[in-house]
Amino acid sequence: MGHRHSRVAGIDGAISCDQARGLFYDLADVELSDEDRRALSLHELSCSNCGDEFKEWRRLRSALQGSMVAPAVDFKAGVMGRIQSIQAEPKSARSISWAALWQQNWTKGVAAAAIVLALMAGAARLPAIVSLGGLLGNSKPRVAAQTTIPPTVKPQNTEPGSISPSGTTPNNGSPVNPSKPGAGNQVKPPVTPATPSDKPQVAVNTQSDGQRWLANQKRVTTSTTLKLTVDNIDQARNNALSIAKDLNADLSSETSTQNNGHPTMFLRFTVDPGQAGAFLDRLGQLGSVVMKNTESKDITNEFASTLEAYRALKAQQAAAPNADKQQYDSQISALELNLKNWDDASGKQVVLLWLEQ
Amino acid sequence: MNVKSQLNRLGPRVCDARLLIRQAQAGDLTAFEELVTIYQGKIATLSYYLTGNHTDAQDLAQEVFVRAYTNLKSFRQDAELGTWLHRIAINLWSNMQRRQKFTNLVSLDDPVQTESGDLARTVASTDQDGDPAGALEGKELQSTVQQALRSLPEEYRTVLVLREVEGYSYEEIAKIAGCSLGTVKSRLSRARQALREKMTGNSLSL
Repeated sequence: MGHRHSRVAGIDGAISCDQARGLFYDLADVELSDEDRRALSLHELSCSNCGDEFKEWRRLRSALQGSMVAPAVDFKAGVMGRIQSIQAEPKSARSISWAALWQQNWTKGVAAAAIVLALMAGAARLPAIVSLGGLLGNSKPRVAAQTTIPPTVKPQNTEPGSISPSGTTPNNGSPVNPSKPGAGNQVKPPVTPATPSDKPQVAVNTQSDGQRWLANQKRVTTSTTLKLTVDNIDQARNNALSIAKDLNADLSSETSTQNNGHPTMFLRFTVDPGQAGAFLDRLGQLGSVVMKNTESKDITNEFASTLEAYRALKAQQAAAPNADKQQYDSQISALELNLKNWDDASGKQVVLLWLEQ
Repeated sequence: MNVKSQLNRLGPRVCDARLLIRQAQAGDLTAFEELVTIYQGKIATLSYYLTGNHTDAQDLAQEVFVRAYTNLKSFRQDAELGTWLHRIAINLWSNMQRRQKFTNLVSLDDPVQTESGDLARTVASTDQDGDPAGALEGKELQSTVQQALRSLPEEYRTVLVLREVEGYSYEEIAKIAGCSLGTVKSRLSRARQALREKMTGNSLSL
């Protein structure tokens, strides 16, 4: 991160107060030469004004470094909820309104993030109009870019209903609309017509049983973020993996980065809820606990929407000419990753271990 | 191959943050959510010291990430994402103040009380000496420093938070604040002096 500072100390090692201040306050940015480091120490010892100033600043700096503010527990859920609300809006209405923000006037938003995002991203690249309605057997083909709410789907074994995005408030992630009771289903998503002109319809009748249960299952994820400062990040990582193996926790992703020169690592595990407490306790012993937040989120509708988008893209890719098939790959991969993470997380507890050295 | 089988063939995802950004740019919401996890603390911190209260800080910080998501495709990876996010925060706050003709949401000389009565929701204490008296003194100093910091003019608060709280370099602060390196250094010098004077004033008034 730093660079070698040009030598400022004179031949006799003496520096002025201005020079001393320059060296002292720039310390975080530069790597001082041995001569400058010695000169600064000597000056601090010999100059009471600078000595007092530097001592005082070290105290203040230490207090300032402890002044990081923790975000609210539901902060991330709020962000993702707002993104989904915006993705569901018609493009013309998507300008972000500060007035609406301050007036908290965003409770009518509906979530269709994955399906709208995927279809619009796909539509931007594809020469043909994306016609989801055509795929589902509707008489009127629809242009996906104009679709703000996904088409409804009739699960085969239940009474007529629809999988549609639920409205969410930014702070709790709970659906705004209550679920309709349904026979034989654990959860009935809210019933919302997809478009003004089309009636809710269409059984998805070509998928296997494996795909159908993925759409109908209630999914709630519980995730805990545990941030630790550690002496040796690689050792901590290896110890964490060892603990995970002991407690049958699965590692689903691992990300490395640098945070202001500090090696940082994120390891995402899924663990049986019965083992989560023990898992977190043991992980917490790997370093100093800086933060520990737990939040729950119902992702039933998000999963259903994403799965619908995934199926639609797969169908489009299958129907596309060979030369065009590759264009779908990145969107399909992104949706697969989302679905995998959600599938892993449902019924299990997600633990995001944040290590910083 | 059915969906579940296809999903199961995907092993753990191992990547660095740049790959995470590329995934998010391609529409991977989980990747973006992980980026929020990485940067939410710093953005929440800057937002708090810009706005002066937790409610508005939360709104501002959320708006930063929403803006970032909708503009993520335009983010070039030659810059660091954290720098970009902080710049969004500062610009949003400036725009908000201009639009609302806002001068002060709260009196920055008054302490802001959260539900727990603390001045700020700070992260866990890292006092490692195991000394309760020292820890208490440290907390009192921290409380006083935060109060003094919040009472400074915004441009001083901003550079002090970026430098001393979040650890950004002078070059990074210059990019975030949209000013020259020389301006950052002189502003920081004046900010430190102002903070010291506030602290001296606070201790004399006790």
